[in-house]
Amino acid sequence: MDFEATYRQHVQAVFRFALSITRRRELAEDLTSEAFLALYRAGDAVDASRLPAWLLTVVRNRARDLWRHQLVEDRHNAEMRSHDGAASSATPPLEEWILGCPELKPVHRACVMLRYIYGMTRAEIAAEVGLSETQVKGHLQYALTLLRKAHGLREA
Amino acid sequence: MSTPHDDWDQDERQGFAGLEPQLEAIRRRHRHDPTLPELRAAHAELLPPAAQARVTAHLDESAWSRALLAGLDEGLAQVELDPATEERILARVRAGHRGSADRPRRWKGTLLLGGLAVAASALVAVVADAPRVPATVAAPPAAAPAPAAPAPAVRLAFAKPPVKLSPDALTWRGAAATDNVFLRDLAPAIEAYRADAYADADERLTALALRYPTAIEVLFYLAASRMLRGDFAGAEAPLAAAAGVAGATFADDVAWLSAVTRQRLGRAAEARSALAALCGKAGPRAADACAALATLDSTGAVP
Repeated sequence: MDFEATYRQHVQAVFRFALSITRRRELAEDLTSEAFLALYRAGDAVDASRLPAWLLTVVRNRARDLWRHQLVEDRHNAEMRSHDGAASSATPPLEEWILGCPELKPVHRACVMLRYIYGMTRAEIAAEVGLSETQVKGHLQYALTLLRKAHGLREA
Repeated sequence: MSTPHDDWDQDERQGFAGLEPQLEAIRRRHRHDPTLPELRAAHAELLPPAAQARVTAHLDESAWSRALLAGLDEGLAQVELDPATEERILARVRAGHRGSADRPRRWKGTLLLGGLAVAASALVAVVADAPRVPATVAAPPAAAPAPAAPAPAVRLAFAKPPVKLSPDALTWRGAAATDNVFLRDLAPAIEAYRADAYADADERLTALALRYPTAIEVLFYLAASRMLRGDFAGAEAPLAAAAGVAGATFADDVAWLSAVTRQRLGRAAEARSALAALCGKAGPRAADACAALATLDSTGAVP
């Protein structure tokens, strides 16, 4: 098997994995090319039977490197983010509904959280969850429909 | 965390009318939670040890953050690398440098070739001498030097599968055409599963499996309940049966749990093969499978 054939065989999985851990297409593209560049350079040293796992490990190691640098830069943020009071207040019924409504799928919940709690636009949510803006709008409308039917939330 | 209601449409304003104080309370409760990138990175075990421990501990305690994380990968199953990007990455690899002409900043100073002519000639040379994928084994390039230590035993992690129903279950009809008896029978078992009462769920689903031997929900959540109790050997039979009846709604989930079960039972080669199949296709479990493969490979658990 030559290099290009190996590339064609595994590039989709490697890119998808890179995207899953970075959620940034440009960065995922960079990590994917780094992984295949490492494979190219390793040449005879890599057994074909270890693919795509070997490539995925390269991606993850590179991503770890990036995170290490990121956290050094943001160390003060990480250390300052204590959990003061986060768990001490009572859980609002609306939060219980978001987490517990059986008609909501995980992606519906994530869209609701990102939109109404984290204040994202539909376009930002679409980028986060890997869907189109139209799909995000549909998920939010579905959740709003369920919310209107939910009993007891507004009396809280 | 912002609170922008400015771009809410009329539908959204009406939907949340009267709920603003609760929205504010939820925002306050979660204002110190790890960020989305941190949650993702922790899920993929990318963070340095201290940060990883901090975010993992948070995830263990926070149903909110777990739910958020669970919904973030929905669209990944649809991601396909477009041909132009695929060719661009290949060209970058062949040229041996890490940047492209339109994004010089990120990779400036790293392995850049002298100019287009050099790059072009290098490309030709590399294409002419593309390396063969070989027959010996090397460890993947590590992110940083690590002390030599025996690889720890690895147990693939898996999250509790959320409850869902197949189209067959939703349209099941018994003798009484208006009553979905199957869903009525299934409900107590699923409630036990939802409530993390896995022993109870196991008992109820085992009984249901006699009555509904080809119902994917019964087989799948029976296997999941046993796995969540740590009974991986007991999960094998329902998973094997589930594989035979799973439609599109459950097929990848069944394959994922089967791969985890095999790995936990020490059948590494089988697990690796199953994970590679899931990782290589666009599907809802591709990211999990790819991450699992990387974990196994990086620890040497899979030869």
